[in-house]
Amino acid sequence: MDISILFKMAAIGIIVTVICQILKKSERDDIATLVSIVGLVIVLTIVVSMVGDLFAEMTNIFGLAG
Amino acid sequence: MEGIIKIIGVAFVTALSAILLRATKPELSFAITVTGVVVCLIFVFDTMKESTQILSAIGEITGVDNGLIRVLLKIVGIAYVTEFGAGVLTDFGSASVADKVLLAGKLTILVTSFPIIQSLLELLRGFLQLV
Repeated sequence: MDISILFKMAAIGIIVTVICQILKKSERDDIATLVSIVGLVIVLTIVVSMVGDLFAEMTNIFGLAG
Repeated sequence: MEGIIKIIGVAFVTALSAILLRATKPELSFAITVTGVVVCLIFVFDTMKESTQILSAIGEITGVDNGLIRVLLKIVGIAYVTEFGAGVLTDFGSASVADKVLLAGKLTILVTSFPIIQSLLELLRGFLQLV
């Protein structure tokens, strides 16, 4: 586990923002919304898997299972 | 010592990234906050992993029942998980849900600690019969 994932997520956010701005300026609001949702889903997938890792580790350490 | 500096660095990076995205994409800023918190906690648990064995070793030396120590560790774990969940929910702006999570955590801890209370009462009953 390292912190490069944070930079990756910030980069995803910035790229999605730029793409959205360009698409909005060229009158393609529907595609801009789609891109925004896709970015959100990608980031949320990473977050959910990481939270799952954390909970698995906690269950291991504290013997929470069963 | 090295670990805490690392964690503070991660926290700074998280805060900076979250601020960077807050204006344009607030939902991604939340996601980054959660990820930063998770990374910090995983660092901490990596350093903590060896210490839990020490606790059970102490239990073995002092003759405390191993089940009691396991319950104790479980309660600490429940408290940490609850605190984490409530913190994230507060960050998301739903403080009322966070309160409910805290309440659920307290109840879970109470239920988990019932065996200890029961064994204490058994012990007391044994003493009373002795007298």
